[in-house]
Amino acid sequence: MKQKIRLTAQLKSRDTTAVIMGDMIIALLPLCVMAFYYYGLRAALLMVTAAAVSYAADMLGYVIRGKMPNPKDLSSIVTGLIVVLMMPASVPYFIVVLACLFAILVLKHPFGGLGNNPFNPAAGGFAFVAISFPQSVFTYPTPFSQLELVGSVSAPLVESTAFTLKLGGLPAHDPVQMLLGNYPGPMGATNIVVILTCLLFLLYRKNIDWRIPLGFVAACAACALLFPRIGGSPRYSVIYELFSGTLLFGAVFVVTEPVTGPKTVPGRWAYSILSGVVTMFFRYYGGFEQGLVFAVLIMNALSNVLDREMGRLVAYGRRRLHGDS
Amino acid sequence: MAIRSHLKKSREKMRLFEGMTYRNPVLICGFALAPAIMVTTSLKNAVAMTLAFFVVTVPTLVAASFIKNSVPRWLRSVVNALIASVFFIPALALVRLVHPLGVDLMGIYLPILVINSVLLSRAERFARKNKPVRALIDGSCYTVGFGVVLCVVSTIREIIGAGSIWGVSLNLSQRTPAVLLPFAGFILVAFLAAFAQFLNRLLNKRIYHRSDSSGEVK
Repeated sequence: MKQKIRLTAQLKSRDTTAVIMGDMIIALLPLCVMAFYYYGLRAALLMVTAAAVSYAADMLGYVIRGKMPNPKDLSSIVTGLIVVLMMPASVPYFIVVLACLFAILVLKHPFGGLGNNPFNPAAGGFAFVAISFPQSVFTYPTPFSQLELVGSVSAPLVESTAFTLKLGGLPAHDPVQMLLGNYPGPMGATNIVVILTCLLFLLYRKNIDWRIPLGFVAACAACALLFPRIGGSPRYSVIYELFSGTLLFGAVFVVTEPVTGPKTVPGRWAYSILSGVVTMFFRYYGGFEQGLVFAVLIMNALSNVLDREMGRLVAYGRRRLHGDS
Repeated sequence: MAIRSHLKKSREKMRLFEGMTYRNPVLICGFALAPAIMVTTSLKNAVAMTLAFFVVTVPTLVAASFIKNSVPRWLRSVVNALIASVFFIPALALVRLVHPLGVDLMGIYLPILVINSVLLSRAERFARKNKPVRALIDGSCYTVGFGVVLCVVSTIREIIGAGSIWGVSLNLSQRTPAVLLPFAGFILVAFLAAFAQFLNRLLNKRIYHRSDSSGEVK
């Protein structure tokens, strides 16, 4: 029997896709506001550009596929916002446009559109521009510096804390400041406190499965604890590894996407823990300082396999525990 | 229109030229995808690969047309591959003449032309049952189809990725070296294949008025 488990299988009676996407946008809004607070009008313009381009590309995708565009479909706006919140505020506009177009027109619609995409479009869009333009996507302005509204930015750009960790150094930022987001980093991924609040909101609204962020962060913390890159106290290693780059942001918004991840509970545990381990692998041994997007893309390819095999593993374990029945 | 009526009348005769027109080996049939994706990082590579493809495939198809059915079925593909590897020697010399660095740049994908899918498929399906002249034309058309796709893909990837054509730099302001990676080749060939299927469907609907066909190529 071939089971086709779709996004709609997890919905209760009153939930519709519009409600889920509305909740995600509400969860992303505080991060957008904080990005505007720290980086000014340019951040706001970048986010508006990402949302508009994603929405237009989504409608264009529907037209190309020969279907009626659904103007109430806000999923593309969520994708666009996630893509742009992982980028620095100094990123050129064409890179944001390219990332959103790639995410919607290459990773979403050719595979069947909403609910059918095997790969996370936000992760794929960001990965594409990260490979193509690493120097624009991985250098960040310091908060409260003056950024031009359009065109290239003249403010000094620094490397992120993830890059410092990759070089083997100790980041120079106070962990408390890192909690508040007052350090150079991706626009939406620096405010740890706000991200945790959004996590609680999404958990309360039951939009995401609590097992996925828990398994993911636990796996990353375990790797950081057992194999610290900072020679010194493991506690600081865990703190800095978790707070740097897009790890916590990805744990809440990227890894938890219901369409591309596994649908069964054992599959979700395996997916989150393996994603954490692979992310740390990419961080330690990969070419770039952040590994989350690449790890998520790889694990997306394995979602169905994890569903199937973890189900069989659990069934086998149950049979062994309770005797052959 | 004169062209449309002519096309309708000669529909059966057009089947000889199918490799060039509606049955592109890479885009519609999915043959020889590996050379089409991995090697097309520059126009020189594409042209050298097409020339090698021609020298390997076409004589082997003619030879298969001469052999006809003398070889038992389980041995046919092996014999075709062996004949192709004999013709690989002049192909390699030709590539060394046109693009001397290409032999190393194209790596394993140049020798793999010996067992390429177009050769094995057309030898079994067409060349075995037809006269050598028709096998020659058939092989040449498939080579032209293959070459067109390779040149288009490599031109796009070279302009966007390296900012040059045939090694001559164009001094473009923006370059995306990631387009030269294999994943971009896959995506580009996939989009071109979708476009080719769209053209086929248009051809079926508008010229041949076969609106019940689901895009299947006869």
